[in-house]
Amino acid sequence: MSRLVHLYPRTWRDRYEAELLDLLEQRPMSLRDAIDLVRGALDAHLHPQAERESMPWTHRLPGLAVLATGLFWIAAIATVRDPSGTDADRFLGLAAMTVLLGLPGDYLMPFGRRIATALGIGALGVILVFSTPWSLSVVVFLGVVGLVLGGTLTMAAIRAGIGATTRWRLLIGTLVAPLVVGVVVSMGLVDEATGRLAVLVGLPYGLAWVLIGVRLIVRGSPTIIDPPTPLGTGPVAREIPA
Amino acid sequence: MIDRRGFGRFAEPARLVLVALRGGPRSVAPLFDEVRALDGPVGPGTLYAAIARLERRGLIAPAINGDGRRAYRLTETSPTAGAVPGGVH
Repeated sequence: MSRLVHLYPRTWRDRYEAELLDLLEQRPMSLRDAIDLVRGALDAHLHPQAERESMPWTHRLPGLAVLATGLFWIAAIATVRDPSGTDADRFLGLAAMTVLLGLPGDYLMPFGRRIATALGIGALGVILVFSTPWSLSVVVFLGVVGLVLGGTLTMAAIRAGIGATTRWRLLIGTLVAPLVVGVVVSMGLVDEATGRLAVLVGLPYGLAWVLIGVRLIVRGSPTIIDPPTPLGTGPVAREIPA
Repeated sequence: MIDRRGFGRFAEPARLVLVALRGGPRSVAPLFDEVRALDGPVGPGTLYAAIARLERRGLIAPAINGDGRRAYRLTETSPTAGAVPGGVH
């Protein structure tokens, strides 16, 4: 039924899609409700109520940070074959900083429990890396790296309003699949070819960040400087007890 | 009382949303349940058509509840509590 939400106009979805999807997840819906959604979408096209407000420039900042993360990552991957490795390290450091600028926000509050679980698993993984035999610690290390890279990419995708199905496809297509293929193929390669393989494996992940960043710049996302405001003349949204 | 113009067939659901919010801010799912309890099988499309119209006119405003979910509340310009039932003209 959630696919029916795509029948609504873009401006309407920008404003109400997330909460309507949340409602559809929480309450079982009937065929009658599906028909009602179609009628609602038709009404939204005929009598638009949700108008795009002028966006504060600060709402573009998270997107710029995410875009910068992608570009720094690609730059790091492109320079990874440099024997000194200095440039790659520098770009990775910059990417880590822009990630921290681009991800925080109140949009993550509904995912608090999952984020806490992921952090717990990550911490456990770090402990295991240092306390298990070498062969096992390599596997755990790869798992932790995958968790960090995948987790941050997912958080950026959530902020950009990308749906769960597309998020999973993005994650598998740009991180999991290249990583698995890369690990398997690299086992039989010499150092020279491994460097080339790293470029092929890392590039899709960087491009994913770039695409998410562009989407986030276009859509905008509230920051602590300019918190979310309701449409029309209503007062600023504020927190209420559960 | 709220002006019926612009609400069309959503005037009654809009009135019920206001009635439901008289008891205080509500998250979307409880609001949906309460409006359904008042008026039978109101669908999600109808509910949001009413919410969008009410919000556009500044009669309700969004808020965030304790678990991070979107909620709605009446605004200072909402009809007075006594005027809401049957008050769409």
